[in-house]
Amino acid sequence: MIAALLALTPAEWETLWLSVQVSLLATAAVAGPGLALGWLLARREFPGKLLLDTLVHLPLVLTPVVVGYLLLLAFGRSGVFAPLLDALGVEVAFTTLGAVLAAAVVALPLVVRSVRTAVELVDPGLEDAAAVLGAGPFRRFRTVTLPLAAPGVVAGLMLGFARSLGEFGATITLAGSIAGETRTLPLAIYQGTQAPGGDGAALRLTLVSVLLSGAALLASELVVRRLRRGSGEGQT
Amino acid sequence: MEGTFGREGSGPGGPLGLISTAEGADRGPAGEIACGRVSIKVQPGQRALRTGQTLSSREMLGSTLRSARTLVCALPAVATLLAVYGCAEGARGEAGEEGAFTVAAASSLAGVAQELVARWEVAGEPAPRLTLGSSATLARQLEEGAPFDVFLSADERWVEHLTDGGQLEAASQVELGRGRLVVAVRSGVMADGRLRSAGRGPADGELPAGRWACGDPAYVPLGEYAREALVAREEWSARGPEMLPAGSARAALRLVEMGEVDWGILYRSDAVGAADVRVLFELGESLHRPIRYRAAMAPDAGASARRFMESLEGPAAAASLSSHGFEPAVAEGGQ
Repeated sequence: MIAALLALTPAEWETLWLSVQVSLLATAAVAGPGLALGWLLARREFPGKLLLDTLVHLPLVLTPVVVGYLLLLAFGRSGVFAPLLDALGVEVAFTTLGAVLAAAVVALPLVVRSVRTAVELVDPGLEDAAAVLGAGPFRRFRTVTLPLAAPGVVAGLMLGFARSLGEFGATITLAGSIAGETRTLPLAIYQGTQAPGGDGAALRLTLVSVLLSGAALLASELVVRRLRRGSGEGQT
Repeated sequence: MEGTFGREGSGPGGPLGLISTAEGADRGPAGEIACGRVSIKVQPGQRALRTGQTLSSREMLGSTLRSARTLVCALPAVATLLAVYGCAEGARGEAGEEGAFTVAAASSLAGVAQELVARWEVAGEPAPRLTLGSSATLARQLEEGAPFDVFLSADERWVEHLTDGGQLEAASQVELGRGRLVVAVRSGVMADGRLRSAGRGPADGELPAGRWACGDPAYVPLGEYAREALVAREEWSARGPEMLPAGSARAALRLVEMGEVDWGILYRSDAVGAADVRVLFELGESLHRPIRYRAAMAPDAGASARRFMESLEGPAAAASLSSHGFEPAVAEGGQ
């Protein structure tokens, strides 16, 4: 395994590093919205809740190519938001930012699902008790709900990170496959499989992908176990 | 085959089945499945279950029934596999005989290939199935056993690679024509005015500014030719990083058409044929190795595919190629 990693070419290292960066940024980007949406769907009833629920979860079942194409129609140079992006001086399509956006949108439902389940499992009575003691909604969330839901939140974020690492369809559609900018591990592997003689790079990067994604899942599991044990002790 | 096989004892009222381990037991008119020593016969009409003499103990009956159930559960899967295999074999057999064959064509030959295939159909021959993609990708698929009968490549080197490997017949090679590279932009006025180069080009022969599209130089022939040309112009190191690599020549054309890039290096045939694309200038042929389109055929291709290959050397194919902006092949390259 280590031999395989050492045999990576500088360009392959660049790909690996870019993948990690894009996935970390995507995970960071969905953390806030993921928490908010997860909590909203778990704790609040409002008109259009079902619609929001469906919208958030759509990327989970849609083919990522469609997700990427819709994002391109929205954020492309002649897309719906082109004037806005122009005014801000931001380019999304076919940039690293686009790769992050694609990965984030695809990872969001996994984070929301996880957060929602975790929040639903928190006893509302504890939140009510905090309210009676004078804690405002934000403080209640920060000091009661979030700590108790932490295992689910962390697991969701880890899962989102792993999903970002594997993102392909939305990325190639929205961000293309630009070396050093948007060519993440799956895109580089795909490129390797597109021509005779590309197997060496494809196999090396495949091994790296398996190791990296496996490590992310394993880490997620370990963190959840530790947090569960921790919160269990705290409650008794 | 809905009935369950499990029922202790015997007599009327049993499920729709008969189990026997005894050799020479009643042969039913319906299905028979043999699995090692156990043979199961299914007779939909017979509402009785009899057990053979060797099935005296309950345990044995149970285990037999379990394996029978497993077998029945696996049946649909096995049947599906067999059906798929049968279809695949059928399709191959058909292709080997007189039926439809498959043509894999470089994406830049899309217009020509569609025209040739349509004409072939009109001529009363079975319509070939057409697959378009980057020549390199198609070559890779051929190498991995994709059942293409005819390969139309935008790079003679992929044909040579496959004739060397035995996937294509060396003697069948046909030179289709030659291509040229152009620098092109999206035509028309952009509402957002972001396409600096659209509408008016820079000084003649000068590359426009900004992001540009081309085939991925790592494998797409268009990208390889373009890289050679820019290296020869000593502009590759400066402009290469601004390139948006596409998975095929057609995909590069699409990026220019969509306005996602400021300009692109495209095949002249693609740029001329596209309504929304304007050619700024041609990149000299001396800057890159000649772009030779070449066709070849799989060794096991059928008679219809062979006739199609022959037609590629005819005047109709030449006319189609020239009407799409390709130049006639130079004779010296052929075999």
